Amino acid sequence: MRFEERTIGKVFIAKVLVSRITAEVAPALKADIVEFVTQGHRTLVLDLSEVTFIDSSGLGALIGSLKSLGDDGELALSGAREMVASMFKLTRMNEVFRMYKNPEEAAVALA
Amino acid sequence: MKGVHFAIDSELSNVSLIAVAVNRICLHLGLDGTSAGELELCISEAATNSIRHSYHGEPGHRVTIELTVQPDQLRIEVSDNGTPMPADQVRQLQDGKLSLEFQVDDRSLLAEGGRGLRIIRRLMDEVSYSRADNSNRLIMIKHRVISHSE
Repeated sequence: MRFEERTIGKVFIAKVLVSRITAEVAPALKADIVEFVTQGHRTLVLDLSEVTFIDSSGLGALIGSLKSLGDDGELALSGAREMVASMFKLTRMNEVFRMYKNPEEAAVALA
Repeated sequence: MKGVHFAIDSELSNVSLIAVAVNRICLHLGLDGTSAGELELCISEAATNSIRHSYHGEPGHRVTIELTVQPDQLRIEVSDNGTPMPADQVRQLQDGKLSLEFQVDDRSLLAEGGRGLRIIRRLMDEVSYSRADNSNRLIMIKHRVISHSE
């Protein structure tokens, strides 16, 4: 999976560089985020601003990634476009994931 | 009958091809962007279920998608020749008991899967499943919301 990675303070930011998060790429997405966690990142922001479509498999990968952090880590999302945001609302995952306008806003909130 | 028929090989990389095509067709038919996106999602979920659950992820099988345009509704039929849908799921689908409700308090209890059919049930106006002649047929109907004339 392709990402653009950077950090702001202790917050690790990974921008997803694919436009569709579907069953085709969901396992790779989860494996990569779990790898970021394994590397020691405990506060992560996934920048979804390039993502135009997500299905339930993609959502499942994000849930699995969140669970890999246990109770004391954070996986937040930023930049969700309309379709992606409505998918989170439909499944009530907007109550599970913290969602921000952009990575900078997320980094300030999570610092 | 106005409509279109697609067939793909049972590989996950093919699902987006149909989903994107159906979205564009919906826009062409005058549906608004949100409705077109919802139909794209439902196609994606249904075809993914066929590949994952009916064919157990095995390539080399056929999934067909038939979109029929009627004056007051769009009808989408997704068919495959794989394993039947489990009886309890069929019953839940027919009873309308597939819900997206959950407790958010404990993240360790969140399910990673099992939302596809629930999403379809929520977004489409009518959903039915039938099994005949070794074939699974999921029929999804969306009443038409026209934003401009065809």
